[in-house]
Amino acid sequence: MQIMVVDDSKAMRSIVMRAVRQAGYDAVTFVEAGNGAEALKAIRATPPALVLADWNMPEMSGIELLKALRAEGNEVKLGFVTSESDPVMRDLAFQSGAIFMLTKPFTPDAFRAVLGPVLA
Amino acid sequence: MSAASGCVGWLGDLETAFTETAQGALGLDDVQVTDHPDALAARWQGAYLGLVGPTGAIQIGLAADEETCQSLAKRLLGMDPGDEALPAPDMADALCELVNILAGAFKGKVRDRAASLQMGLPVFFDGCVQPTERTAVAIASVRAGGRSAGLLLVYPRAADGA
Repeated sequence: MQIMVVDDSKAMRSIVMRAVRQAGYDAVTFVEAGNGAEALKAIRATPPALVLADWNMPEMSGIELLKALRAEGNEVKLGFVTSESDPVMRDLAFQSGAIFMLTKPFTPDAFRAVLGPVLA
Repeated sequence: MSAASGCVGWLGDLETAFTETAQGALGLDDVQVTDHPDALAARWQGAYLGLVGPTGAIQIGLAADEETCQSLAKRLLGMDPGDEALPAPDMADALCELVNILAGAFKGKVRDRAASLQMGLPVFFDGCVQPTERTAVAIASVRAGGRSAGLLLVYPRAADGA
């Protein structure tokens, strides 16, 4: 199973991948993208099982990525991992097709809670 | 946010947001605000991030000496203090991400006064942050994990009546 981690921070991509493994998903493989545009290109080529995307990124934000995917009819599962916790943004995320929104900082337990239903 | 909102009062919110961020992201439970100096040490490093509202913008930041920046970055990345020093770009990236998390917590604290703040992207700096004719800088000195750092709130000077 492949998970794509989309974040403009290399540090945060590393933290997210570690937390997913600590949540018990040792067997997943990761692909990384530094912004929404990079992710969109990679998802078109090889759709992962799940996309974990930051919200605020240069070039193309996470919500722009999600909207672009859905506009193309791509229903890849996407959850946000972001420092944003604004209720308006949360509503927008779910209305646009996100399956969860996890706020930074997070714990492996928080990942376990959101990934369990998605990757079962 | 408006010029009459008294942004300088938001430094307390930033201090609370830092305490939460230090606990949640760094595992530091001993955060103390020690002082509110007029200026930072001359050669500190750190990161800042802009928050833009309909009528103005502020920046928040976190600064410290290089050794403390390394320590904070290693903590965020789950490294041991004795691990080899991070390359400068990786340390800057981690500090920026820490400030990104701090900004998210801060935004939540001021939501009742500034519901439509939009977060920008964090920027790393090396040097000192100076007030200008149009902007003021409020600073909180903090200690966490036995190290000193500074929290910065850069805001429109008109907002504090200056």
